[in-house]
Amino acid sequence: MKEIYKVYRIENGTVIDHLPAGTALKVIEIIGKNSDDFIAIGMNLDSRKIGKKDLIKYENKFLARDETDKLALLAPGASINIVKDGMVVEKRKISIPAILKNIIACKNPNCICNLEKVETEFYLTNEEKKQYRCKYCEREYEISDDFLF
Amino acid sequence: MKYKGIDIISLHDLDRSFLDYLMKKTKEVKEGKWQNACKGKIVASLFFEPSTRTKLSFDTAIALTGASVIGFSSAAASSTSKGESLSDTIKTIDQYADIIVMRHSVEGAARRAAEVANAPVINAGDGANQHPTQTFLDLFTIFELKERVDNLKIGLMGDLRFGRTIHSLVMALSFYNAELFLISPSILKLPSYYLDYLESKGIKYHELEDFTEVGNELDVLYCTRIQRERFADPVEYQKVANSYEISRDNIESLAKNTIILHPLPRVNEISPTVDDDPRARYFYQAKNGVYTRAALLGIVAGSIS
Ligand SMILES: [Zn+2]
Repeated sequence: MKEIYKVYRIENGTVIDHLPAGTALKVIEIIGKNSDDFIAIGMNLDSRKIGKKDLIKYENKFLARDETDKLALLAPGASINIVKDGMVVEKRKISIPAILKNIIACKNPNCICNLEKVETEFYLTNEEKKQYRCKYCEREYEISDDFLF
Repeated sequence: MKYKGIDIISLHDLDRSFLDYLMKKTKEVKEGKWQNACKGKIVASLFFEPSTRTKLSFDTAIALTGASVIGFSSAAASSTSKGESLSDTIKTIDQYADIIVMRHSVEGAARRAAEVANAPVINAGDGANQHPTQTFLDLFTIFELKERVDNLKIGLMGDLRFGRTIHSLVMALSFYNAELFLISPSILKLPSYYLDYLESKGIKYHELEDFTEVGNELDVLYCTRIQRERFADPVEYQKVANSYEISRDNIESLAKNTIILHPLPRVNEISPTVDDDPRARYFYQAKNGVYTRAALLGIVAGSIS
């Protein structure tokens, strides 16, 4: 637990751990924008599990489902710790979602979801490639980070 | 009545037991068993995008089932041209019709329509995406002429990369145990996610560029058009187009009982000089579209069971 104290402690909130080194800023950009609360970032920490890792601590923030889904696409191996009164009360492993509901937009300009107000939905077709199929136009996409911005 | 009320949007939603059932009922319709099965029903035939061929086939099928038809044959005639959303157009027509058949240039339009309509929706083509009734008639023709699909050797030739009918047919054939010969120029090969899909289903396939290499092994040769627009260089197009044309010069490389199918319209892929060859079954295939669509209308209406 030594490395925890290299990054400022939080009392209540969420710790996102085991992010691949170099991805913390991307994660902050995608899910950390809309909060005034304290955020601590640790980059290139030593990890027994993955060598070098990044870590983010959000004070007073608990991830909503769409945020967890986005995180899962960016860093499927990350883990989430929920902290209450300075103690980790819950550890969550995240996994790549089977369905993405209103998380990403379809890149096909001729898809109905870009022409009428409809919620997007994508189905996982290949976990290894992070490949999803649009519910409407049925195009398949390998989800790269630029889908999430 | 198992399939009463279901939407027919994409091969992705269907399975072998549905296809087997549809094949069986299509055969019965063709034998004259279900005439006027949908008498008293109203079918909305909504062609937001014109397609004379598909519309006439559906119109004939509707007549065969004894149902009445309402609708339009171009977007200009529909209220979407006045700025109404697709969802609102469909919700309104849903008040009048028992079944909605629709063709639209936007991909996913039929899926969206099915979400807002209570009546079953049949996708008659949504942009470059799906055209399931074409696949059903292709499959029925194979079933009828070969009495099975399992263990057949089926050649798919032409534009395998962009061809919508090919992609749907590949999906349908993957429910059976056919061996596929994917014949195309190298730039128009079947996309890799379809190959991955075939592999995941354990379907044997071979990729090649010249049908004459395997012609005498094939039970079916399914041809599609290669579009000029796919090629930057017109010389390259001409070279490719010629080598994918079936004519008197190369038809003898097919076996005596190979059947030649094509979704039509054809351009240069099959020379009219082979139309009288007993292996050429594409017009017969087009006729089967009427029976297949009639059976489908009856099944989703709950009138054929
Ligand atoms: Zn789409």
